[in-house]
Amino acid sequence: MVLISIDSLSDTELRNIAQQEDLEDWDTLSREELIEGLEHLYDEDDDRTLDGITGSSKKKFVNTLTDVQSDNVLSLPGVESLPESYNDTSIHLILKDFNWAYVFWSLSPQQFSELEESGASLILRNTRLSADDRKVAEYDIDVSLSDTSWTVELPYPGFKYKVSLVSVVDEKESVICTSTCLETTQSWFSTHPEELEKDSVFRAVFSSLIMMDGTVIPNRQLIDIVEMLNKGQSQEADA
Amino acid sequence: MMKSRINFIFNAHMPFVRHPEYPKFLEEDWLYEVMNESYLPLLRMMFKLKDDKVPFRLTFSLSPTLCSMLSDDLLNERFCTYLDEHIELGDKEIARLSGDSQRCALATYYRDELIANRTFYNEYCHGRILNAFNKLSNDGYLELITTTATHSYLPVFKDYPIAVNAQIETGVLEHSRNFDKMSEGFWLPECGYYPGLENYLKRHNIRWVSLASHALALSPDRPERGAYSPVRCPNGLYCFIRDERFCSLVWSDTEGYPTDTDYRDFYRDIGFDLPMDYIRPYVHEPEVRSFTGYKYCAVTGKTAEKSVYDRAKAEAKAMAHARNFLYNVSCRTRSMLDVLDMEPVYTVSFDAELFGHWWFEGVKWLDDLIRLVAADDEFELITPVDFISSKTDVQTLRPALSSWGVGGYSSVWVDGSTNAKYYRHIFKAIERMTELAERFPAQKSLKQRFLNQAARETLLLMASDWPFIIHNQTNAEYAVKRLEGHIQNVNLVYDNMCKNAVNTEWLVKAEKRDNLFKNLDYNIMNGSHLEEPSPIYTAEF
Repeated sequence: MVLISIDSLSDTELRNIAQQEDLEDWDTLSREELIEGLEHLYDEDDDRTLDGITGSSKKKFVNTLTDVQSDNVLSLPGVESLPESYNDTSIHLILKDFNWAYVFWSLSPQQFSELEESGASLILRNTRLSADDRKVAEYDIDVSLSDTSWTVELPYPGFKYKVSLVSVVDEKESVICTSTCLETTQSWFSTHPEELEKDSVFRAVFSSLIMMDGTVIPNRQLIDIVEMLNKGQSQEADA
Repeated sequence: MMKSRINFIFNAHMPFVRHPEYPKFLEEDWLYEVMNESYLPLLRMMFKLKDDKVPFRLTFSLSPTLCSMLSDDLLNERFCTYLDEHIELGDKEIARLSGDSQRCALATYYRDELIANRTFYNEYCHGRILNAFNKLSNDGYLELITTTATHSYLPVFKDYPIAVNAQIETGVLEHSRNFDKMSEGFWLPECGYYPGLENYLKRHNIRWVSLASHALALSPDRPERGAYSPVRCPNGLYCFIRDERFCSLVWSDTEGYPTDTDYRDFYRDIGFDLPMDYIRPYVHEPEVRSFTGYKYCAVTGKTAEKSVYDRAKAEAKAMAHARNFLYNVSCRTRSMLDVLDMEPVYTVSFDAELFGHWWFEGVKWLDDLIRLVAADDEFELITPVDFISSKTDVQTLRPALSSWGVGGYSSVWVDGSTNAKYYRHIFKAIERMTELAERFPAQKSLKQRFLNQAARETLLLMASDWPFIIHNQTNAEYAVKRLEGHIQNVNLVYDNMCKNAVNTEWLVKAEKRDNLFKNLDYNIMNGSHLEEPSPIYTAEF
């Protein structure tokens, strides 16, 4: 739950929100006390405020100053709450960022019981593959039977990645399920940074990516390329 | 002289929010606010330009969920009530502020704008805003395009080609139902692109999309002209690359024009400032304060002591910012003369709701800018189809995975802490819907309706809005309930169909509430559907 732009609100607005939220002594508190009280009230649920969200999108779908409790959306007749899990075993990999992915899995109740009874330990295996699907490398993450998701790193662009859930009983491994492959690409400039040293190339490609304050747009890969370029230039200057 | 061509693309979208079960609903106001503060003022501005014989070319994407709501009788009726109530509030404000000339003038201005919107809505649009957009398209001012059915962010659904196709196909079909001309372009929600997506777009004869700038800069191929020229995917789809620098002039919350201290403050509103007894008829039950649109403060700065909003000062600033935008464009073109071998195309795309609703003076800024462009040979407004029709040679290149979200990828919609946990349910619902479509093809009567409704619910649960709102924690509880509700609905149909049953009570209520995409055929979710030719048409690029 959040309170939007708290520092910019008038005393009256703060008091009205405090009243709406049933803050004790709302009508006698000072401005500082109102802010402190409201922040404390909202922080109980979530320590974020909208000030942490960048861009104009922070005003999207905002028509109140508080995150109103919308307890009046009626469910349709006959529907049931979402289950903890479904009756199957599966694993999925979704790319979050260019080198981070969210992986989640589920185990069927039967499979879960079998693993529990056998005392199996679980491994999340991240496999890196070449473009023609040859295994290049892999690393394991120990997970517990109660885990259902993880964030995994995909450290090298230009490769395919897949994750498998593996059980280990008496040092014997058995693959439970494997995700589809996720392909990452390597940019042309990351392998040819020297090309960007040509003024015309740099201007053509990067002039639309540099903000008014002179920084490149906040994209990790682009920032890495610019840093690589800067490093190359400073080494050249040193030489 | 090298001409600067500016390609403005506006993405108009609202999630499907419709609650006939309540007389008034807080989140329905999202729609009424943007109708009143963005869509109608933008349309009035464009019709005025037309009347003044000022030429212009702009592109608008109108999402299928937005179009469904703008065509809905109940929501249109409620919008009229919204306008009437806020005009009444304006009258009260004018009386209340009679001793405060500055605020009273502002209240009068807001009230008069509401009246002008009501007149335009009834007399020009005949109660249907889409009519006015269609007219401007037919008259050659606008290129109208569509987007995914429910503004679904497609990169996360890469492993579900049937669902990706259903989102695109429904978007294209809905567009052809709502407008006279077919959609030749396609707005990728959040500029979300993954390699291979172009194949689904080509299937429906889409000719162009707009991509984030790093789609080009991080391509595995060497980009030749940067964002100054569109490129083509190997399958022929044109990609217009967003110019981040020019977009940030308008979009940035730290350096963008809307942050100017003379502009109107978005957050300060009498809905939170006046006693509940006064404001009660215009907010929500039970005594939930919300924005009314009557706002009297200027941005001023990060302080509680705000200046009174000065409309004349703000309008002068909007004109200055329009000139500044063109000055920046002009400087860039001149600085690139030795690099470019063609007249540059600057693609600048925004959410349409930025103009008027979030940035109150945005409509005035756009109006000023269009008039300045019309009077100056150095600039030209174009749409993507204008460029494509010029048959200019462009580079063929493979764009990289990208979005316009923070960081440039998917971490807003799959954030690992608040919204990622829903994907196990979302993916399962898609799998279940696909299974149902394949196990029960060509059903008739009640089961057909049951399955069609499940397909609607599947599209709705794929909307990018729910994970976005959950991530931002604004009205998050509503988004959670909506998302969970759509998943539960698909699960109900699945469980019923597996028992060869139909829950008619659920069906009637679901059809009444989630009544969009009336022509949707659930067989769109059958895997074999992708092997058939597109129902759109199959002309070559």
